[in-house]
Amino acid sequence: MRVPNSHPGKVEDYSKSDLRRGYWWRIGGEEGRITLALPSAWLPSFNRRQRVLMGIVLLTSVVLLVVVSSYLISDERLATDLEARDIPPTLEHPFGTDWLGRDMLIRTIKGLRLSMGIGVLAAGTSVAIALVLGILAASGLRLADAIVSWLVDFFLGLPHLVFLILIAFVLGGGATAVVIGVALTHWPSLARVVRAEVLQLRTSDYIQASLHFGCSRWWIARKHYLPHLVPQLIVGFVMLVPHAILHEASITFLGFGLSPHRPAVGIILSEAMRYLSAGKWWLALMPGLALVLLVGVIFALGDNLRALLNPYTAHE
Amino acid sequence: MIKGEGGKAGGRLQPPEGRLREVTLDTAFELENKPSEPLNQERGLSLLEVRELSISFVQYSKGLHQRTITPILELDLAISRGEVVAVVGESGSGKSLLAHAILGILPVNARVSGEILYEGQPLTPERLEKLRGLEITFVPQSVQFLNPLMRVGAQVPIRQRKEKREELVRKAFKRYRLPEGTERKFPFQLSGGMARRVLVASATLGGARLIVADEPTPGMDAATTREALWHLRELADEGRAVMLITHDLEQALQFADRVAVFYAGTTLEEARAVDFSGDGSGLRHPYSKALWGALPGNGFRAFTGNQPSPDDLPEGCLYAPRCKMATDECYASRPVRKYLRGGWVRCYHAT
Amino acid sequence: MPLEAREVSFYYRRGEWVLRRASLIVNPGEIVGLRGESGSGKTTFARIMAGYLKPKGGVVLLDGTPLPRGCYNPVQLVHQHPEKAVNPRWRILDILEEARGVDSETMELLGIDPSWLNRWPNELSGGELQRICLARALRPETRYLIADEITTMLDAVTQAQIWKAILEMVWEMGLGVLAISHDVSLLGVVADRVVEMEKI
Repeated sequence: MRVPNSHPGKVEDYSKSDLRRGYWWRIGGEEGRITLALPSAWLPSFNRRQRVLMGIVLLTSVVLLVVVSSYLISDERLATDLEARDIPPTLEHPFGTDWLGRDMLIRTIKGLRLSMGIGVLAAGTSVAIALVLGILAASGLRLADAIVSWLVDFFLGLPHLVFLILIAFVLGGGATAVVIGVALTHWPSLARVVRAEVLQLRTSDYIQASLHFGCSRWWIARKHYLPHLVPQLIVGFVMLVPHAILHEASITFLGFGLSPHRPAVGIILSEAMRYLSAGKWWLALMPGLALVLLVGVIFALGDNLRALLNPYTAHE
Repeated sequence: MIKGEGGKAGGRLQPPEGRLREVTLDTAFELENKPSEPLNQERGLSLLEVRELSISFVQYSKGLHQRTITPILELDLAISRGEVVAVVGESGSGKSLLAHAILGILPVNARVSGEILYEGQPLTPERLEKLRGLEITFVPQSVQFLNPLMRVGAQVPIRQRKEKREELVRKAFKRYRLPEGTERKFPFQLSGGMARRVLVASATLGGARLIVADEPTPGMDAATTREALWHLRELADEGRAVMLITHDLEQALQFADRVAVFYAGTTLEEARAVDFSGDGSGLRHPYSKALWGALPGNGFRAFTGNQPSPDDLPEGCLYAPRCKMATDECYASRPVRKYLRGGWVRCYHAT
Repeated sequence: MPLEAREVSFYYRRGEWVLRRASLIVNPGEIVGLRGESGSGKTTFARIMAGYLKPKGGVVLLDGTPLPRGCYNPVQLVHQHPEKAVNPRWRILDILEEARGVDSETMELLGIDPSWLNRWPNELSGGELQRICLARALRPETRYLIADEITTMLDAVTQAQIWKAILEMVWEMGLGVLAISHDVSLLGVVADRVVEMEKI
C-alpha cells in the first residue's frame, strides 16, 4: 500500500510537490549514478519526464563529444616529441605526456573512441544473437526452446571472464577476438528477457485475435512483438556497451586483446603499468579515470532510458 | 432497514439454502460494535460521509506533455450503520478510486479535494492508520490482492498476539462454513467460492464497522454471487455499514438499502432501493430512470451517447450532453444537491 | 450455412475432461443463448467454436467444412475483457485497421465516436473498448459471432446499446450469434432459444 501524499480537505499544488525533493534539481538517473545538481531557481519547472530527457541529451552529448573530438584531432598531434617526455599533468598537457612525449589527453581520447567502437560492436552483436535466439526459443517449437534454454543456463553458469579470456586466447587475440568473446558471453540474459516477453505476448488475447483476422505471423512479429521488444533491446544495448568496454580493457590489459598498434584504453593502461613503480602515476590514473567516467556516463544514460521507457514509473 | 419490494429486480432474496442467519455479534471479538454518539447533526446516524470529493491525476500523454484527468468530481455519499449502500456505475469508471480514497491508499500522484468524514470527524491519514484494517476494512475483487506467498490465515489485518489471532481466524472461517485448515492454505489453492468467503471473513474479523466491498462478484454465476452478497447483507444487519461498489444494478437492488448512481465520476442521485421499481417514476434523475429502463426485464431501452472521458469533462452538468431535458442552465453550471422524497439528486429538472 | 459443433471434447490436462461430446448448431440469423455454471466449460466451448482451440475429440464445421485459416475467419469471438483483447501500445485507429478497417456505418451503429480513433486503449472505458472489439469482429465477411459474456462487466445502458446494435446486424446481415451469459433476463430478451451447459 502506498501512503498518500495528500488527504481530503487540502488541494495540493502539483508544481510544488516536485520541489519537495529539495532545493537542488537532479538531472540524471534516479539512483544517482551520475547526477548534476543545479539550483532550481535558475530553471523553469519541467516535469519529470522532460528532466529525464534532458539528462539523456546531456549524457549523449558527452559521449558524442569524445567520439567527434577524436576524429577532429589529427593524428599529427600524436607524434612523438622526445623533448617533452614524461611531463606530469600541466595546463599545456592536462593529462601529462608519456615516455615518447605524446600527449596523454589525446591518446586517451583516441583510445576511448576505439574502445567505444569495439564496445558498440560487441554489444550490438550480443543483442542480435539474443534477439534471434530469444524469438526462436519462444516460437513454439519445443526442441528449439529446450536447446536455447539449455544454452542460456550453460552460458550463465560459466564464469564469463574466464570464458572470455579463453575465447580471446583461442582466436589469437585482436579486435575480432574481443568482439566475438564479449558477444558470446553476454547474450544469455537479454535472450532470456526476449524469450519471456515473446512467450507472454504469444498467449495474449490480442495476438490470438490478430491471427483470427488473417494476419500472417511475420506481420504479427513485426507489428506486435517488435514494438514491444524495442525498448528492452535499446536499454539492454546501452547497458551492455560499457560492460563490453571494460571487458575489452581488461582483456587487452592481460595481453589477449588488441595489439599496441590499435591503442585502445586497455593498451594504454597496460603499458602504463611498467612505469607506475617509477612514480609516473599520471600514465595510468588519467586514462583510467577517463575510462571510468565514460563508462559511468553511459550507465547513467541507460538508467535514464530505462526510467523513461518503464511503463510503471513513467507517470510519476 | 428498508425492505425492497415490487418490480422485477427489487425483491429481497432469501438466504441460500440451509443457512442460518446469525444476527448476534460474537462477543469474543475484541472490538465491540457499540454505536457511538452521532456527531453529524444533518445526517443523523451517518457513519461515513463523503462531501464533494474530487480526485484528479496528472499523467503524461505520449511525448512530453502532461494532462489532467479527473476520474472523480464532486462526489457525495453517506452511509449509516446497518445499511448497505450500493455505488452503481460503469465498470472501470473510477468507482474503485472512491474505495481507495476512503481507505487512504491512493497513488502518490493523486490530487484530492473535498472531505471524508467518519463518525462526524474528518478522516485524516493519522486516523486512517489506526482505523484501517480494524474499523474500516476492504473486501477486494479477488484473491489477487493478497500476497501469493503467504498463507491466508496470516494475512488477516488484525493486531493480536499469535494465539488470539489464530483463534479469531478459526472462528470467523468456521462461521462462513470454510473447511478446517483453510487458514493454512495459500491464495492460489482456494476455489472461487472459498476465496470469496475468505475475503469476507478476513474483513469481518476485527469487528469492522465500515466494510468497503469493491466489485465483490466480478463475472460470477448467479449462485455464488447471491451467496457473496448475502454475507454482506448479513454484516449490515448486524449493525455494520457496508459500501458495495458494483456495476450490476440488479444485483445491487437485491441486497442494498440505498443506491448511489455513479456517472462520469460523480454521484447523480442517491435513491432508496424501493424507488427502483415499476416504471422508474420513483427515481429522480433522468440517468437513473434510463438505467432502470435499460434492464432487459424492464424494456431494454437503449439510447445513444457515452460517458464523458475523465480528461475532457463538460462544463456544466456531466450528463447534459446526453440528456433529453437539458437546457442552457444545465450546460452552464453543475447542479447542487437537492433533497427530494427521501433521497437526493443533482439535477435542475429533478422530479 | 450453419455453424456446427459435433461431439466436441476437450481437456486442458490429460484425464480431466472439460467438455465431453458437446454438440450445438447455430443457424444464420439465429441467436442461441448459452447458460451454465462457472467452470462448466462455456468459455472453452466458445473458443473451440471460434477456432481458437482445436478440440481433442469431435469437430467444428462451418457449412460442412472445417473453419478456414490464414484469412479473416468468418466465425469471430468477442470476450468479456476488452482491455486484454487489444494491444495497449496501439492507437484505436490501428486496432481497427488491423481488421482491415471498419466502415462508418458500422461505427455509427455501434456508437463509436470518431474522436476515439486517436486515443490509446487505456484512455477508453470498458464499454467503449468493447464496442471497438465488436467493430473489429463485425466485418461483412463475418458469418457468426460468439459473444462470451460480452456485456457482463458493463452497465445496463451500455449493455442495451450494444445488444441493440448486434440485433440490428443480425437482422440486416443474417448473422448467427452464440450468446453466452449467466444473465437469464438478458438471454430472455435477446436469444431465440437457450441451451444449458452442465458441468462434467
